[in-house]
Amino acid sequence: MSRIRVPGPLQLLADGTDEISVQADTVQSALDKLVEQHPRLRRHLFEDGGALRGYVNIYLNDDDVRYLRGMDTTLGASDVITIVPSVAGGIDPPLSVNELGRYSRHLALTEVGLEGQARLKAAHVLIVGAGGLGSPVGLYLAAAGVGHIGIIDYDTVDASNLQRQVLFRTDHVGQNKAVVAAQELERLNPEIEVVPMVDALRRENALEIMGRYDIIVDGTDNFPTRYLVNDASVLLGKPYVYGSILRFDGQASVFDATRGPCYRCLFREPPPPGLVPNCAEAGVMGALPGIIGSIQALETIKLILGRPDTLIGRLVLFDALRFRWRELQLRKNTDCPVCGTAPTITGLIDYEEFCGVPPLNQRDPDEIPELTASALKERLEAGAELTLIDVREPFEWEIANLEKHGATLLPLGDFAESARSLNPADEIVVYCKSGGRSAAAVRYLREAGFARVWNLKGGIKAFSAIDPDIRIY
Amino acid sequence: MMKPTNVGSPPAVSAPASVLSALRRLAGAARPQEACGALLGRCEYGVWWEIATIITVPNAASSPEKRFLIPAEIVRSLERAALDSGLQLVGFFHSHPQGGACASATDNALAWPGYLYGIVDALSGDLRFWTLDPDRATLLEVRTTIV
Repeated sequence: MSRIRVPGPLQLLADGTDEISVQADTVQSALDKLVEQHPRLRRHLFEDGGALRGYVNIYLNDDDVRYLRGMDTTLGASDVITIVPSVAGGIDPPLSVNELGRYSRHLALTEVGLEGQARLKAAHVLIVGAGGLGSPVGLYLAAAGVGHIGIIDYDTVDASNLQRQVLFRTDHVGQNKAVVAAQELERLNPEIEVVPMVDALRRENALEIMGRYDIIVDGTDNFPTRYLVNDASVLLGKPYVYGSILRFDGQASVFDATRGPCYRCLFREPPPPGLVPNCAEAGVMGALPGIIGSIQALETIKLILGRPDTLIGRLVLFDALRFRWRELQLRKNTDCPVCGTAPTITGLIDYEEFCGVPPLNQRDPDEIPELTASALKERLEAGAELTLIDVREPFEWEIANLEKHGATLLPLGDFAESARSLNPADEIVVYCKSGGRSAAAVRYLREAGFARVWNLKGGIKAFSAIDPDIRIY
Repeated sequence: MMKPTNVGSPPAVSAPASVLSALRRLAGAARPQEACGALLGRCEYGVWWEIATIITVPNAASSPEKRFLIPAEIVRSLERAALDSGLQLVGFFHSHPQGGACASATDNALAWPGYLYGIVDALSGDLRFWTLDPDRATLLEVRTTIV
């Protein structure tokens, strides 16, 4: 019997065995018996054709069998076979011939060059939200050769997006934005990898998803996501490329708490809900996201290249209507609750609540009381007695509804009439597709003396983002 | 280091800051060539690794600016050196002179299961550890704790 010593790392694949005894005449037949007994070892020792892999060295006692008779070396009774790896690896050719041509205008810049282009190729960038900002960010990063791009968006393309979200075409309406974005970017540049994620960035998944990327670019337009991205970036020590647009105004910066201020150094808390309208309510100028998103893409490329003069510590403000640029210097706030010297926020919090409705006693009587989708879901799961009213049209109800939670359809057109069936003593939550029509219904009910009425913030659309059973439309 | 006790818990490595800075220094100094060497410490191959020290070895590849090679006889002597110090040969390191601390296709194709692979971006100093998913032949990043 000869013995084969299995090296420590390979014991993983050999049920922990460190040595096996085999009855064999030659080294070849001994190794054949080894992989018969432990088939998981085969691919690490032999090529598909059966030859020993390069980088696998077989020693018989103290001699490399290559210097004996190779795999045909005969075995004696007390011989010991040892498997010794050579260890090798290295970089792939930095750029293929195709890539050298594609990126030739970058290669002509000494500030980029072959080294910089290889860095872009190796970089992992996450784009949160494939909308007005996410479109140019994605297009320019893909075109520039950023090798690994992740795009997260749960929403679908709507006809009203096409005025500025240049990644999408008319025939994309109704399809998921992240999925379409990934297809379009890979068409633009097949040399790169784009991973779509059909989901919302949430407290539960943010650290895990963002942890896989080097740089986070925020293309969303809401405060909860902005604070979530900021706090998670600080906790992970990653740069966060910020951009924001509304009507004719845009702003951009780079937040990197390891080298400068974070978003919370600038805005410790969000403005009261309702004070800052979103683009859906207030509108946004068509080409503006192209400008701000391109700044975000540019800063991302500079961060990857390791350039010194980024927007870290600077906020640029752009007034598109008057065509004026301003730049503000930002300073790190040592009292910042997340990146200061004694942080009070050391994990992710509930950002919907943080940015949501203020306590009742501080509320403006004219304001529409809102309930977030996650708060509603929590209350329903806790068994709260809520009357759910859907004020959309019957065809919308057919697509998706909250009937499983006891919702009733009372379309807004006949609401004055049908609302008579409601009990003013009940706690009522009204919803529509995204919160506009239901706000009108809530206002009507409050004026009619209903005291405990809520508007579902973001409508069934927001609810579908957290409940996979509800169809998104 | 705390050994992961849960079966199936993700692989983890712990390394002293001094080892990490030494790896970065070696990577920078070797440019434009790839630095390479051995990681010595204690481990349960494929599960957890604790790096105590490193041994740098000459890069024996024929084009050392884009490949590294540690021949089998050197691996044997590294194993002996580890045993002599009461340690194990837990894995290897190499650098990427053109940047990037992710495993290349070449690294994937030539990796051995069980070992820990440290890859240093010689430009930025980014340093990541990888281990082969034994059945998928893909290097997966290993969670790192600095001690």
